Amino acid sequence: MAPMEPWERVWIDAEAFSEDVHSYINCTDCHGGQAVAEKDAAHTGLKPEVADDPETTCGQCHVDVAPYAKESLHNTLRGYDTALYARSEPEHHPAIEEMQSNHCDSCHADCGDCHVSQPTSVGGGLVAGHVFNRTPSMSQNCTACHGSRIKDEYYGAHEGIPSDVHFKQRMACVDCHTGDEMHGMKMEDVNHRYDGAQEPDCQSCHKIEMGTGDEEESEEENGIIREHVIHDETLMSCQVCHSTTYINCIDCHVEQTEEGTAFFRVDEHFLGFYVGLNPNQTEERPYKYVPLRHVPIAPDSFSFYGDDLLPNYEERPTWVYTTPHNIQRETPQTERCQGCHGNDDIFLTRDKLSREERRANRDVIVDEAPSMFGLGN
Amino acid sequence: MRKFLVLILALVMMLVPMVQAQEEVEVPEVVVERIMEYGELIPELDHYNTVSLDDFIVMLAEEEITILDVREDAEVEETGVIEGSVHIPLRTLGENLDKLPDQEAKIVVVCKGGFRATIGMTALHILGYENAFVLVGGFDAWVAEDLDVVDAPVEVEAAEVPEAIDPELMEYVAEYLMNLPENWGGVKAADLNIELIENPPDYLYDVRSAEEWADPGYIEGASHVWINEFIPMMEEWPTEKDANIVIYCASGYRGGIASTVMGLLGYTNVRNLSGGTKAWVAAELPLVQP
Repeated sequence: MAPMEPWERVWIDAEAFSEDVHSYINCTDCHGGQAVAEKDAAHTGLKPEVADDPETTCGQCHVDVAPYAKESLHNTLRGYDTALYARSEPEHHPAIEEMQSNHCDSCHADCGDCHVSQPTSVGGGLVAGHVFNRTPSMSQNCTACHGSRIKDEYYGAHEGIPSDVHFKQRMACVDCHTGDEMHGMKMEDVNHRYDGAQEPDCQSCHKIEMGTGDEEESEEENGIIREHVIHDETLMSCQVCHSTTYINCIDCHVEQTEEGTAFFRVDEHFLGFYVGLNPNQTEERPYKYVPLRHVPIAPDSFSFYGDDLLPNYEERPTWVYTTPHNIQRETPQTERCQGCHGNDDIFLTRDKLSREERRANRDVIVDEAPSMFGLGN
Repeated sequence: MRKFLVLILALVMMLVPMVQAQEEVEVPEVVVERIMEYGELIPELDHYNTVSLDDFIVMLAEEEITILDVREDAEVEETGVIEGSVHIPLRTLGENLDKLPDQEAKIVVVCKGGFRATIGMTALHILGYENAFVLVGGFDAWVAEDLDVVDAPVEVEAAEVPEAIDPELMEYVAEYLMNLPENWGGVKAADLNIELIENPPDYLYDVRSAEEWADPGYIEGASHVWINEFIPMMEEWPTEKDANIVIYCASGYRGGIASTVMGLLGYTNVRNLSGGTKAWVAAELPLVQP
């Protein structure tokens, strides 16, 4: 697609927008400024980010959603704070916040970022002439931000790795990730995307295969897959068996141009699939084994903003619990028992880590692959 | 003053339908006639005038043929060509008919994989070159067999354009080829699946045979119109010339014929599934059976 001209990005299609219920609201009600013809006066009091505080804009009508959306991970990016503050000390937080403001906060998504505009990665500007989409577009919103990991895995963009089975069944992001979940209405005080219950939950659709259907009927009548009963959720997450190779990022640093402008660089990645221990087994996520993905962090990632900003680098794994979006019905793990049992290749064992990373990952490392004759670890 | 305003308003009202009418391409009668003739010819064509690499090698040995390489200049410079090839980039084909042999001559059109060559072959048929063929798998198939290539195409002296070609037809087809879109009107399997999830095309046509529709099956949401009947059923095509239309077959050749013909008849948003259902299945996307 040819890149849009700047005016096209902000073009309001009067005919289409007049069909939108939001056309009954004055522009200034959301955008601030003054409804006058003279430019400088019109721009006085303009809000650069309309929905920074969803409650005072969208929330005037969407009272049931906005208070939750305001506190959602999409809006607060609190997950970044959780991951970075755990590796630092309070005195480093101002420098880290400055770094986040310069490099991370562009990923922040307020109401309009999902419902009326699109990220710069897909051209930026308005999705459709300021017409609001009740349901965000998979390609123009969701995967425009969640690109290298989610999009490429889901669409099957990595050579030799098939697309997700749900993509093949024409399922969009919102078919699993509901509006309630996206607006943060499911749980309060969420500090990380893996806090609380598994949402979406595979079992909400795959009841029968998981053995959570009618318990009065026999396994055979119920269509229960025996392997699901043996390898229940206390032992592993669904992705351990049903995901395949995914992208792992290694190096991530704030660098600077010759002119001194700071920029974010992530330039190493590799495809791999590793199972490790779940360092945070909870009632909602009791899995012992989970797939692990390497996240792009190093002790000196943010040294541009100060020395030793991550003194507690080893307090959090660099291989983290992940839920890859390349689900397959059949994988090397489902093919035969030896796909996992006795197969150290797919487990994150100590020898796969550099010396510098061993302590940080002490809680997720598997000593050896579970044996066929009694489980190891 | 009031009379002046009324006059301006009347002029604006007259202009509105004119502006709208300009958006729709006016197709000369001679183009429609030629396409209908081509439609009658299609069922008689052996494999729809596609030539496998093996048959092409036999043709090279036994017959006098013209190899027409329609790839871009940069591609030809990078990879070389099959010896004896005439090189005319697809978009300029309509303007370089004077470099082709007479209309009865056997011409095998070659591109990288066969997609563009199918457009070229179809255009040549409409222009009256009824012995135009397309090499299945294109130059890539040739190279994959480690067959010899040469650095440069042959230089051809421009001759006369065959008198039998209607000038209006020639100009129209040349204009169509010149304005082919950046990706030649192809859509990849995964991208089509994304569209089917989010914003399905208005029409999805399967132009394979009834047997292929039944087994291995079709892409859910498609309508079946066999390529042999596609052009004769022209009157039942969508009335909206700007409708979003995707056509597919098994490998992309029949789909390429159908999409090229629709494009020539003024449909502005027709695409062909690159690689057809074979690419769709290779991407592990599902076919359904009736």
